[in-house]
Formats: sequence, structure tokens, C-alpha cells
Amino acid sequence: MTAAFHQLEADNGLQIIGETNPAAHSVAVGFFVRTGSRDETVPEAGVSHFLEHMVFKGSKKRKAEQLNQELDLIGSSPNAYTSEETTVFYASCLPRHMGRALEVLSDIMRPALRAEDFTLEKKVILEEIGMYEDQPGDMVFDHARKLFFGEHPLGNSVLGSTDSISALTRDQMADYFQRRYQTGNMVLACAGNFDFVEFAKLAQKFCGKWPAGSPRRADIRQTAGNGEFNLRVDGRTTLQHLIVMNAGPPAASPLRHAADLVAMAIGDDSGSRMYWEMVDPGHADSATLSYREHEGTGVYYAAVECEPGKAQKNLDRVHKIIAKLQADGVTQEELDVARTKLLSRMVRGSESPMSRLMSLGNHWIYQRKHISLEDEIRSYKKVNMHQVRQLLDRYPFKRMTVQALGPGKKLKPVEQ
Amino acid sequence: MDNRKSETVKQKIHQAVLTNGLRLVAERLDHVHTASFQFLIPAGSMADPSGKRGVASILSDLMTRGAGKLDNRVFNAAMDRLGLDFSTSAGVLNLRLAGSCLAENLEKALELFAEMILRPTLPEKELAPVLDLAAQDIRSTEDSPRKKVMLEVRKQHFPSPLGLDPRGDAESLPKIDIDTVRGFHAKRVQPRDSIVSIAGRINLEQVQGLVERLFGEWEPGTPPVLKEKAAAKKPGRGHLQKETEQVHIGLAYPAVPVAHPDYFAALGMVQVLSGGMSSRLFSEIREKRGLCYSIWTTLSPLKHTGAILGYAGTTAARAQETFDLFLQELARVADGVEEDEVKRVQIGLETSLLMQEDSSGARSSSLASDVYNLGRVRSIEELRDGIASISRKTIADYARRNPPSPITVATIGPSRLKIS
Repeated sequence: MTAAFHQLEADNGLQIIGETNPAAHSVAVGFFVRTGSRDETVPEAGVSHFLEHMVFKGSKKRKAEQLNQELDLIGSSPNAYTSEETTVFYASCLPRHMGRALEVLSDIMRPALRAEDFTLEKKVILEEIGMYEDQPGDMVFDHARKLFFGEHPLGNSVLGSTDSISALTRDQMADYFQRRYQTGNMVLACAGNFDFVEFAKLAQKFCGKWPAGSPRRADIRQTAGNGEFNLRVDGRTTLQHLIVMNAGPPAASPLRHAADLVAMAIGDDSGSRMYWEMVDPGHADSATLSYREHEGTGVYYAAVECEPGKAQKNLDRVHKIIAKLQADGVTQEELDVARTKLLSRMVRGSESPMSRLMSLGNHWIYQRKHISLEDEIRSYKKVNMHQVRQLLDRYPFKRMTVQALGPGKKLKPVEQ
Repeated sequence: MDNRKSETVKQKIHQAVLTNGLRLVAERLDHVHTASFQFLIPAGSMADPSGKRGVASILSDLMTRGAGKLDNRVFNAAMDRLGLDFSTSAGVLNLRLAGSCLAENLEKALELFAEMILRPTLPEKELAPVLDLAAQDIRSTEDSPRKKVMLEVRKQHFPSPLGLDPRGDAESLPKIDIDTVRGFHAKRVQPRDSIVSIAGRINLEQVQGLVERLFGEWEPGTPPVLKEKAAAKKPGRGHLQKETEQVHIGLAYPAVPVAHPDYFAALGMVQVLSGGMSSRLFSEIREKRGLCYSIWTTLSPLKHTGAILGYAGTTAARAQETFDLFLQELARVADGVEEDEVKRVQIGLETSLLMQEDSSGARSSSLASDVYNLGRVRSIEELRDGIASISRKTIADYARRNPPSPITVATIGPSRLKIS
């Protein structure tokens, strides 16, 4: 790879980082804000995501219609997403449009939050919640997280609920914005074909007057899981959706690479133990294990989708596969194959400036440092059998939380 | 500054036809580290034997369960050891087999694909689980009304079998036995009219030699005549009653195929409707009225015909208003579009075109579909000329000649729409 890393801190504390690759055909730019549903109070549920929508309703300088037209003139549709702990605004475009993309994105990061826009966009959010509720395969994750995290704010739903969104006021949103969108809580990143010196100069011009400050994140406890079991019976659903959750290493842990590899060996969507024991024989339409890192904690999700009549046996299978993993780990061969697959996907996924931007920004948000593709590859290459054992001892699979959603009424918990 | 000149893309493309009829198209991308490839074989679901819908799709799954001397597990482990991500599926017209890996593993990856395509084991004991999984996969669509409604609208819009779900259905799948699948492979999986596209950090001469070595002996057969018929004049209607939160609306109306001289005008029109943040559907229905979260249209061109497909999801009380406005916007393009709209559409299309060059997967897919639809590859510069040809006049003329009528509508939800 020919990418070079650059970094600069603006006078108001805004971090400006970039990875330049002159061979790329495009450039991707984005603001990463360290805020999401875990940073919301109960009456604010869903505000992070709603605010993300309101950003695209424009600033004092630009109203929504003008903004949308300008964004389209930059080329690639800009976009944004909100998770439990980050809110990201990004655009990718041809190199010649970079300056303009940065100006527009910077401008809307100070949204006007006009009352009439707020009322209108609330309707769109309520429709988005409705759409999500029609997708049981997505809803089951929300229920599972709530069950697993309990009172921990990582259990908060990103979308919020119909009730919380209906009750939310513009002032609450403005207050949340003041609290969370301070420069110490944000990073501006850029990747691809661009000139960093010029980029940084423009960034300081557009963002130099933003208020400084580094808001704290309230609760970054490690979660252990509680072994709860919950069955939601929904007669409108056709298949049975199962989620089994367990605690894993946090984003800053050196064991996170081992956790990724273990998840891949046990539950990648092809060639893994769950694939061979559950999908290949036709027991489940899909059966995967994935690992997700968070600040302060991490989680594994085993997710299964199957005919309701097969759910009990499949739940037993998941528990058996995981118990065996906990007792015996993975084989050297499994570890090697998982590594090859993961690294191959990583290199392929890093071809576009957009994917590099995501990696760059998210690593900075979580770890306050630059991790190049080469560094990441090296870390995965270093994972050995000893580290896998360490991982399983330090974050054992026990007291797993089980959430089921579907038409089946008879599912019973498995003794752990 | 002439922007276009500064971003001229110099392509290195190689094309050849093997003596058995297999068409190869390859493009060298200097700045990537990967190689991606795709096979299109004219053995899609339209070639399914009568009464046995889903055979092509079942074959595409069963092919991955062992080939040559390698059994199911060993074959898949070999793929995994290369870090090769692959997918196999049956569309309506073609079997599509695709793979992507680091460039240095391309040769070994193609060797495995040659085994899978030419010498799949198609083991009888694997058929039952494959059928079981296919049935579950079809049922899983019930849990995604957004997907389900688009399957339904295709079914209502296109004449059978073009509009049918390539996966078959609960009635047809149990009728498939191993002899049917093996017979289908023997007869239909052959090189004539088949295409292989390869893009990435590859040596074009070596790739030609490699494909000849691996696929030169592939015995040609007779490809089926899969002629797409245009949609019926009578508009289709479908409603599935379900107590969902939203009413999911799918619609379809006729459009031109890729090879048609009006193709870029059609593309421009669809982009005006649904191409970006300032496009008409997003702006009028979501931004100004807050009626829905998701609303879109897309141009779905085939080789001989085409359709514009659309979707909106909205709660029951607002569904009729959303639908009426949707139709109104589709019709209103014929009244003309603004110069600014054309400009935004051109920038959007050109940007996504040039960004393809950063992805071997996107390029291999474009190469294959060009060869399939047109018999040749359009260069990036030719496509840019096509985009530049879009104007207020071409869009409005196209819209007048191709109104959204007859329009097929399908819905899933707690209430029906009134369609005049």
C-alpha cells in the first residue's frame, strides 16, 4: 500500500487526520463524533440518530433544499450513520470536489435545528421505526441487547421508541448537541487522493471556531452478562430468530484480534463450525457468530434463523458448539484458515478510500491513534493458540443471554 | 480547467472467444491488490425443466458441495485457504458464479472454479439439506416485507417465467430429484454464450492462457433460447394482507433495455426521480412531507426489455397519500426537468462510474453484464459520453414516450390502496 498518514490538532482541539493515496480515483471525508445511544438519558432515547437526520436539514446558512442540491453537485450521495457509540457523517467524491465536500459537511455540523424541520423529520423517524419493526431479523438484536445489557446504556436502542421520539422536544436535542458535539469529542478524517496540507488548511478555516471541550462518557463498565432467557412470541413472524450473547474484550484490548479470529473460526457464514454443524446439514437458514467491540466492553453474538420447529435443537447445538470452544479452544488449522479469510477480506475491503476512511476514523475514535492496514495485518498475524486460550480464560463463555423472537411458543432455556 | 481531461481513465482491456464459445473479458487495474471474476452461464431459472421450478437455483447451491476429487468439506476448505470469497446463484436468465481474492491467488481460485463448473460431484446425499435450506430461504423472505413486495411486483409485472422467483417455491422444490439436477448440469452448463470476466491486478496475457488451460476442454452444447417477453399490456395488481406496521408498496412499469438508444435518457429520468438527496421523490415525499423513510425507483434493464421498479414503505394512514404522490411524480417528469437537475444527475452518474475503478469486484461485474447485454464492453469514456448526452430534452422526450402506464402495483400490509 502506498498510503501515508498525516495528523494535526487544530487550535480548538479538533483532531484532523488523513491517509493519502495518490493512486486512488476518489477521496472520502468524514466527521466522526464519539456519541450515540449509550450517551443518551432515558427521556432523550433516540436523540443521537434523530439529530443525525437533523444535520441534513441544514445550517443557518443553508436550508435543506439548497443543501441537498449542493450535496448532489458534489457527486456521490453523502451519508451518515448512528450506532450505540458513534455518529458519523461522510461523503466520497472525485478529487476535484474535495474542498467543496469539506465546506458543506463542516457547515452542516453546526445544524440550525429549525422547529418546522424538527416536526417534519420526526414523522420520517417514526416511519423508520415502523420499517424496522417489520424486520424481525433486525428487531431481535434490539431486544437481545436490552436483555443482555440491562441498565447499562449500551442496551439503549439507536432508533429510540415511538413513545420516546414522539415526546422528544427540539430543546432537548439542542441541549444534547451542545453537550456532545464539542471538538474534543470529534475527529475529522480524510482518505484517498488529496493533499493533506491543503485539506488541513481548509479544515481549520471551516471548523476553527467550533467550541472546544471534551465531554465524558458516563458509563464504560465491562459487562459480564446475566444468563437471562427471553422468548417473545410473535405470530406475524415466519421463522424463529435466536440471539445468544456473551461478553468479550473491549475495543482497547489487545485480545480483540483473537476474538475476531475465534468468531470467524466458529461462526463465519461459510466453512466454520456453526456452518458445518447447522447450516450445511440444513438445520438452520443461517447460523453465525460475530464479535463487536465497544468502548469499555465487547460482545459476541451468535445469531440463528431457522424453522420454528427446529429452534430448540438449534439452540442446543449453539450451546454445545460454544461449550466445546470454551473447553478446547480452536485448532491451529482453524485459526490459520480464519486468519487467511479475515486478512483477505481486509485487504480487499481496503481498496476504496471510503473503507479506509471508516477504518481510520473509527480507530481514532476508539483508540486515539492511527492504525495502518499493515499494523492491523501484523496484529492478526501474531495471534497464536496461547492468545486464544488467554482470551477464553479472560472472557469466558458463561452465563450466556438468550433472546428468541418468532412464532414458536415452546422454546426452553438450555442449562449452562 | 477541463476536469474530464484531468481524470481520463486509460483502460487496459482484453477480450477473446475460446474455440468452444466461452467469451473472456479481462481488465487490468494497476492500483488494486485483488482480482475478482464472474461467470455468466445461460442456465438461469427460465431454463428450469417444466414443473420443476428452482432446479437452476438448487444446482447453484449443490455445485459448491464437492467437485473433482474433492468432497464437500475438502473443496470448501480449499476455497477458504485461498481467502477466496465466492457466491453462486441462479438469476432468471443466467447462473452467476463469482469470486474475489488477493491477486496472487487468482490461478488457484480459477482452478477450483473450473472443477466446480466442469466436474461438480452433485452428491445425492447433499440434495436433501440443499432443498431444505432453499425452502427456509424462501420462507425467510416472509420476515422481510420490503423484499417480499418487490418479488411480488416482479411476478405481477413480467410474464411467467420471467417474473418468477428463480428460487422456485414450496410446491416445486420437493419435485426435484438428483437426476434432474445432474441432467440440468450436463445439458445447460456449457460454454457457448457463456461469459467469464476478470478484473484486478492481473497480467492480461497470462489470464488468457490460464482460461484456455482450464476451460479450453469444456464441451460446448446448445444454449437455451431464453427470450424475454415484454410485460403484458394489462397492469398487474397484487395485495398480501398482513398486520405489518407499514404498508409496503412496490410498483413496476416498462422501460428500455441497455442496448436501446434511449437507455441514457431512461437512466437520466430515473436519476431525476431518485438519484440523490435532491431528487424528486426524496424531496417531495420525504423531505417536504415526511411521509416515509424509504422511497426509491431504479432502472432494471434486461437484454431485450426493461422495467422501472419502485418502492415506498409508509404507515397505513399515510399510504394512500404517499402512493398518489408517487404516481404524480412519476408522471410529472414528462412536463420537463430543470437544467440544474440534469447537471446534478450527470455529476452523480459520472462519480459512481469513476469510483468503480477503485474496486475489482465492481469492474468484473460491469464487464460481464456489458458483454452479456451488448456483446461488447463499453469503455469508461464511452459511458461518460452517454452520461454527457443526457439533457432536459432527452429526459422529457423519453418520459412522454414512456409514461408510467400500464403500471403494476403490489402491496403488503394491513390495508389496500385505491388504484384508479
